[in-house]
Amino acid sequence: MTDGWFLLDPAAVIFLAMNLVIGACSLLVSSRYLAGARRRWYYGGLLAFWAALLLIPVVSNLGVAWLLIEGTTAASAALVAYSGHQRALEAGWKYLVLTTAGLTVALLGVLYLDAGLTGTGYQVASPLSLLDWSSLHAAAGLIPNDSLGVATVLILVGLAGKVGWAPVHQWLPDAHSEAPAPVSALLSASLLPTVMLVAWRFEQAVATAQSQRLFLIFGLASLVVAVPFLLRPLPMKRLLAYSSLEHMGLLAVGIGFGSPLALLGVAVHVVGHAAAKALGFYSTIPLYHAQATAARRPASGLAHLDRKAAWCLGISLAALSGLPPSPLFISELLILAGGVAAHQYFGVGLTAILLALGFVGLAHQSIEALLGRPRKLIAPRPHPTKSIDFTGQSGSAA
Amino acid sequence: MTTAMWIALALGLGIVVARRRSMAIGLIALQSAFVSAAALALAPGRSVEFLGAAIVLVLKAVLITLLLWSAMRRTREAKPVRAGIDPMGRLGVTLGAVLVVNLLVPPLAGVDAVAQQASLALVCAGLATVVLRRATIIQIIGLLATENGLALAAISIPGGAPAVIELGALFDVLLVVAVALAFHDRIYRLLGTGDSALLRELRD
Repeated sequence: MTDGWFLLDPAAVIFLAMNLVIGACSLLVSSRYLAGARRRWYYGGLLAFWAALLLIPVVSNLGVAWLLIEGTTAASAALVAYSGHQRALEAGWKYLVLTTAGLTVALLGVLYLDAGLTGTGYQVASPLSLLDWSSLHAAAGLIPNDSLGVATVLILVGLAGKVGWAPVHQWLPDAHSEAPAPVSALLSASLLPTVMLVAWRFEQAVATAQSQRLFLIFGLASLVVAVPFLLRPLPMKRLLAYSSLEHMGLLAVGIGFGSPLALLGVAVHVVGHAAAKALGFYSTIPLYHAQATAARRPASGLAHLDRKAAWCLGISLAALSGLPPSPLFISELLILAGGVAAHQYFGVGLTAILLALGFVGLAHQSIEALLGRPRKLIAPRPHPTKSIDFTGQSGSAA
Repeated sequence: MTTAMWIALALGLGIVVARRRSMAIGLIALQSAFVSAAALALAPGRSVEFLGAAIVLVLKAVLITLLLWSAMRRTREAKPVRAGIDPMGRLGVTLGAVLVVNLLVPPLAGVDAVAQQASLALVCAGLATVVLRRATIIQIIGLLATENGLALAAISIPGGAPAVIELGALFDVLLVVAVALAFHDRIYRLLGTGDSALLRELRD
């Protein structure tokens, strides 16, 4: 269903529902995260970020989608650095600069695409309508191949910086690990897949061979970069961040395969990943409150610390590793079967090997984190008492 | 129009080599003024929306310059933050990137050839500034230079880019710059300098 500015197709409904639920959960969980801390602008930033995430899947225009994606950057970067600690500032700064630079490149692609579409003489109600998904689908074939190719590369490379696909993923592990847990959940479970939805809509609209190839390249590169980190002991939120890189890579591979089976797998995977990853990040809140070193050292013996959080984290990690019968196991099978259907045997083989290695790594880290020898417990640290000051009252921040 | 584009590019290269923050702020202000002037010069033959976007471009140039200047005065550095590479090295890397990108990108349909080359070159120069400089304010200026490259591309499209996109992008840029300057202030208060290279705690 299309209504001027909005488009409500099955993909939009899935993402809208997903972002609605994850955002509401993050809002609810935030009170626990902020227990005893100053709130200042936290909720304002979170609501602005959430509002943009709700709109992106349903807008019917590439240019407007770009504006909303860029709009998420300011609010989410401030939230990443909310604690005001040096590590959080570093993560927030890196995120702000790298994603803004990436989106600038994407906008250049959008402008070149708009220029190409203007040159085709394709008739629409207003200049902005040229960038509607439906207009792109109808008129992309009229743009000369060179122009369409350059615009496609610029747009997908630029959006890759925001999705966090390798090799433009440097901000992702830092931002996810240093942001408040409810924000990390929104970043990983909502923002990354939602930006990927825009990239997918663009790919579907222009349908060039190179756009599918680009998805495969980004996907396989992300898996290759992420999996070695899943085999190493890492602090829990950092481990979850690299798992996000792995799953975004798998989604890109599924889109790159492009067969109906693979795309069905992508849809199931997006929802399953969002639920499991959000649960994982929320479960780290008691751990990070109780162990002052949790942000820097691998988690260990969480079952002895907080049984309920350990159960939740266990379920999350089991699902994320693709342990049967989790929905992510089924979606991974669907994506691989879709790759076979698309005759992409090299991609299927490499993906299967990397997923198997990722499973081994995440399963090992899960056992250590949940059942290993518990670290010395430290009284809950004051949390976070110093927040970054974005209000201009320079004296009040730490 | 063509002259303004090449002057904007020369100013972008000036930002790459500028040592002091005050010089970089002056150069980005001038560059924004030239881009705005080019937009205003094109306005008579275009729509009312284009004129509106051109006026907003002028206002943005003034506002961002004031914001940058005020941030610089709040966060005085004892001496300029050194970049990892000397000015000639930075210029060489930037010119190399500009050359390679312009060789790789064929002439695009609907885009004026000079505007295409200038906008690509400006985006490259801006990104090079972000990557090669360590001072946080100068990295923000690099992002603004890439945004000026986008503005050049937008005004060179026959009829201009959709006004919603131009105005929305300008608003987004203001928002991002405001948050980036808040980061700059906080980093300065924490480290006593706006040197992003000192933020090196996050490693695997």
